[in-house]
Amino acid sequence: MKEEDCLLKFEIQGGEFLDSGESSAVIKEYLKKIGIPHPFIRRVLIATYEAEMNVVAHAEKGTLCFTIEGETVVVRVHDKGPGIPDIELAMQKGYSTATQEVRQMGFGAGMGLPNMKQNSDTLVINTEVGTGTEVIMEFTL
Amino acid sequence: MSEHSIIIDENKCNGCTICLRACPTQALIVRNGKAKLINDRCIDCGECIRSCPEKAIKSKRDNIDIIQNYKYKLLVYSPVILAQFKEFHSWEKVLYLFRHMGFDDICGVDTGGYIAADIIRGFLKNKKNSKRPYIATNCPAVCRLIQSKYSGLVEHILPMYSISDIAGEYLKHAFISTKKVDPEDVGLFYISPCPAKLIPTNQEKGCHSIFDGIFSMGDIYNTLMKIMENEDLQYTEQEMVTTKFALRWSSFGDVEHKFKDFTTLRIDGIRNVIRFLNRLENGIVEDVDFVDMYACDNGCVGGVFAKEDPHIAEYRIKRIADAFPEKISKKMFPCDVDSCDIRMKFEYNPKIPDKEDMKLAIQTLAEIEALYEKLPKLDCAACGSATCYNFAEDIVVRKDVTMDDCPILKKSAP
Repeated sequence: MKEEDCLLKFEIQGGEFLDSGESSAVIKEYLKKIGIPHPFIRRVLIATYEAEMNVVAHAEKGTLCFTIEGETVVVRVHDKGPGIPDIELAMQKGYSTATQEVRQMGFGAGMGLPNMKQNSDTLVINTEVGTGTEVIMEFTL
Repeated sequence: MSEHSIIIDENKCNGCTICLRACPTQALIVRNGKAKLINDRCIDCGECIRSCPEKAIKSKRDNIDIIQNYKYKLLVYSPVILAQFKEFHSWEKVLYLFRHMGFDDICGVDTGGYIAADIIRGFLKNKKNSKRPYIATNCPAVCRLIQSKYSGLVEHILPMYSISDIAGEYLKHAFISTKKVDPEDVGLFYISPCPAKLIPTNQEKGCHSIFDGIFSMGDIYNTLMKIMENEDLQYTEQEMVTTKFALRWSSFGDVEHKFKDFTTLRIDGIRNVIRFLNRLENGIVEDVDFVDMYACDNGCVGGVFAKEDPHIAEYRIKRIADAFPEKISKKMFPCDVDSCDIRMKFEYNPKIPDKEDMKLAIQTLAEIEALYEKLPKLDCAACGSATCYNFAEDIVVRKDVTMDDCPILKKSAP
C-alpha cells in the first residue's frame, strides 16, 4: 500500500497518552459517514485503538494509514520503535512488556495484540528488533 | 417519517440564522430568508425555541379545553411546575388548582420515578445485563439523538418506558380499577416541561403516546397565575404521596441517591450529552452502570417551557422534597401494567451497504471534504447552512446551494 492510497493518514507520537485514540475516533466518524453499520465499525475501532496505543506505549513515533479497498477496510500502522522479539509470546492474552508507569495509567494489560487479532479478519505483523514494527489489519464487510 | 413538535412561523422569521447555530444537530437551514426544519435530523430538544429572538419558533401542544371530551379526567404533572411559583411552599395550592380545573385524579412524574427505581435496580443487579452503561429513557430528546446519530449505542438504552409514561399508566390503571369505570370514558393528560415530551419517545417502533393530550407547562402556568391573581382562593389540604428521592429525580435528574451501590451519572445540557455519547461510542467509557441524561441544563427544571431559572427551581424542589420521607409508608396500588416492566425495545436494523454503495459514498464524501477545504471555516451560517461543513454537504447532497452562496468567498473574490 502506497502512502498516497491512504484515505486518512495520522502521525502518532510515542508517550502522548493524553491525545491518544484520536485516529480511531476520526476513522469511526468516517465509517459512520459512509453508512457502515456499527458492529463492523466497533471491530475496526477496537483494533485500531489498540494498534494506536501500542505505538503510544512502546514506540518513539509512528504513522497510521486507513483505506478501503472494495469491501475491505485496511489499517496499516508503521512505527519506529523497539520491535517485538517474540511475536508468539506477545499474542498471548495478558502478556505485556509495558512499563510500570504505563500500567499505572490503566494501559498495558496485555490485551493489545489479542484484541487486534480477535477484531480483524487478517493481521500481519512485520517486526525487526531495534528498528520498528509494521502492523497490517484487514476487515471485510 | 417522524413527527416533530417544532413549528416555524414564516411570518415572524426574519432569517437571522441564530437558531441554526443554537441547534445541536444542525437540523435547521435558512433558504430564501426563512428557517426550515430538516425533519430527519430534529430531536425536538427545543434549543431553537429558546434561541429565537423573534419568537418565530413554537411547539405544538394541546389546548386545555380538550379535557372536556372525557367524562373522567386524569392528570400527570411534572413536579417542575411546583417550583415555578415564588410561594413554592404552598405547593398544595397548585395541586388544588388542578382539581379545580376539573381533573378527577392527579399524580406527579415522581410517582413514576418511585416505581421505576426498584425495577431499574433489579435490572442493573443482574450481571447478564451487560450493555453498560444503560441510558435512562426519561429525556425523549436524548433517546432520539441516540436513535438518529448514535445508532450503535441504541442497545445501551434502558428497555423501559420513561418515568412520566409509567406515572401515566399507573394513574389510569389505579383509577379504572378502584372506581370501576369504563376505560373509554377516561382521558389521560400530561403537563410537559419541554417540547421533546410532546411527541412519543420511541417513534421508530410506531409507538403512540399513552396520553390523550399533552399541555405545555407554560400554558398551564399562565392559567394558574390568572386564577391565583384574580380569585380569592380558598384551597383545601392536598396530599402528595411521594419520596424525597422521587421528587428530586423527576425534577433535576438526581439519580445517585437511590443508586448508591452502582456507578451512576447525571449528565445535563445537550452539549455535555453529545460529548459523553462520543466518548461512549469511541469505547473509552468504563465502569459506569447507569446514565441519566437530559438535553436541558439541570434536567427537567431547565425545560424550555419553564419560566423560572433552573437553579432556583432546583433549589425550590430540594426544599419541597425535604419534607418527604425516604419511603412511601402508605400501601401503593400494585403496578401491574405493561409500562412498569423492562419490555420496551428500541430497534436498530442497520442496512449493510454493498460495494457500489460504498464506492459512491466514499466519492461523495471526498467531494464534500474537497469543497470544505475551500471554505473559510468560520461557521458564520450567513449562507443559510449551520456550518461550513454543512454548506459543503448541502452543495453536494441537497444541491440547493452553490459555492457562490458563500458571502465570505464572494467578498474576497477579485
